[in-house]
Amino acid sequence: MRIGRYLVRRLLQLLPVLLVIATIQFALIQLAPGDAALVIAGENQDPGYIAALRDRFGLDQPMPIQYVTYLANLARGDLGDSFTYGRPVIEVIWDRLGPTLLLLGISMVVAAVLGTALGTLLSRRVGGWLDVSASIVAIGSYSIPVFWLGLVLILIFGVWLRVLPTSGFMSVTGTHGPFGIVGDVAAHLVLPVATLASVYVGQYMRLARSSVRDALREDFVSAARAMGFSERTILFRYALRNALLPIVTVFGLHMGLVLAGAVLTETVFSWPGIGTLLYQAILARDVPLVTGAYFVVAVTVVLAALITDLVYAMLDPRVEYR
Amino acid sequence: MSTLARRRTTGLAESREFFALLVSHVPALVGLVLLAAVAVIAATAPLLSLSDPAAFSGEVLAAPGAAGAPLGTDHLGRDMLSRIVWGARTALLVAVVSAGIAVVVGVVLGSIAGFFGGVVDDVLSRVFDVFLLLPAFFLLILVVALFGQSLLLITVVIGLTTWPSSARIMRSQALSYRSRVFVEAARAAGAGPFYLLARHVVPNGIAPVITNATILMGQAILTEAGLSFLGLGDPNVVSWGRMIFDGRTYLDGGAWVSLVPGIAMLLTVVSLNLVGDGVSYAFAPQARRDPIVEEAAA
Repeated sequence: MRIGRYLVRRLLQLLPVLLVIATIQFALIQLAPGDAALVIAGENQDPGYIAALRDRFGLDQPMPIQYVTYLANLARGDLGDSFTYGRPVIEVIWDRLGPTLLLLGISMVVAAVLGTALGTLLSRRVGGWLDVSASIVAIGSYSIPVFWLGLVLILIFGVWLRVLPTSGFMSVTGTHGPFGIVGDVAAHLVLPVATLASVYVGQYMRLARSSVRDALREDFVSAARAMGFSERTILFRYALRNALLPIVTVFGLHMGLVLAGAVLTETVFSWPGIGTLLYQAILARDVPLVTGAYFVVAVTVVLAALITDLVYAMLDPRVEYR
Repeated sequence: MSTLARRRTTGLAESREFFALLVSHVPALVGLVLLAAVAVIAATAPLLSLSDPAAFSGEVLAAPGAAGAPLGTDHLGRDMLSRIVWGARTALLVAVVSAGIAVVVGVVLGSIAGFFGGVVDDVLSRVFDVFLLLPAFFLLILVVALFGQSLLLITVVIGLTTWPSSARIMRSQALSYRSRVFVEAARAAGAGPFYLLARHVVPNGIAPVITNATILMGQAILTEAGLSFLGLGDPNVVSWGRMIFDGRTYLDGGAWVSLVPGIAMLLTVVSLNLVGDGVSYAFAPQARRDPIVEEAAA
């Protein structure tokens, strides 16, 4: 019951965030050069369509009414129509969500697990040569342009070695290789996942390194040592478990950044997700689709923050669902 | 007032000590040297006798080492070396201006929130939380798609979407400094709140914000490059991101068109992050703070 109330309270706190997101979107469209209906219509300048848009978004009405109408439309998931696809924006985005979530999910899990494992091992040797070189690798990982790393991997594995597919979701020839369709998709996932995960692994590594190191200085670790637990048990059962909290927080709070990385990675590898869709929308000046992508991403980020809070509360018994 | 007087007399010695610590940190020294090199090259670009970065001259896709083009030429026959140098100007300009905006907005709002506390802090902290959740890159795409591709606009929007981390760091600093003895003493001597903020709280607490700014600068360079890679950069300036994009169809046979600007960008952003590490160490050698972790957690 308490967790239910906590959830409702957190949802209510997130409503202002959604309002700010929607208001910025409304304000940008209003402030953009040209008539708002023409901006939303994009390349489709058919007078009948524009008149219909004016009616749908209440664009002949006074500004406050336009604002309310716009918010009401957003709340119902009406983000306008994509003129390149001739369909509602929300449907077009929805169709592309799967591949993006697949790429994003696998990459984030790889980055978080690998980074946390490496960082935990390094936390025991802070200041040693291994730690220093790992630190430099971590800075490199944090500093590398994700799309450039993707191209470098394509150059190495696709152009020089010719061992991995570098483009798309699966082979288009109809044959999927010895491991069937799953193996085919997996092969196409290797390079995009390696690209996206590499950019975030360094951050998780440094985060795990410093938070495990801090946890190792806590009294409960001394107590566990005094009781004669092995260092391995202390490291994994006590220190790491407590150090996971900041890692979970970062995992959730960085959804916006990671989605940006995913868009660039998808563009490099022609991965058929929201990123490639957004890239094509930009090229075609499909304003409703670009606007819709911003709104969907913003809502996703807010939901990720909410889920993070819940996971945090479940992991840490000290957090009260007040 | 003795704290004030002592600060004035020891200011020089303190900055010398700070600098000595900074250069004793080997990675930071490497970062500083690299960064200085990039900055000097960027600043003196018009004085260097380079060919016009936009001129379609010479051989198309000439390999690095070719006569007159040490880094080769791109798919249109433009000199890569000249484009790298002019691209450095764009990258540093975006970095400095956007991080400057983020620091100014963050320090003003963050110090006010932390120093005054109460309702002011509650309201401002909620504002920070909201802005922290805005997906900056996608907002930037929307702004550029609606308002046009200008470098100034891109830079300002990057600054206006990345300030919440500065604000949150400054807030916690102000919170910890507002009740220190020297601040209380100045308050007792009759100093007003804004004098206390400007003279005591902000100068003493700004160190982690500066460290964070070096990280924001690196992120700003990557953001602008990402935008240029998607074709939304300013078409009137040379951007490393756009150069990488241009080279992606010539990986087989002209890999340097993408590789060289990527290496330039990697070195620049790495040097910023190394300097950030060093600055953080030199401000507080015992604290072993990790600026990348702080940026992530802020």
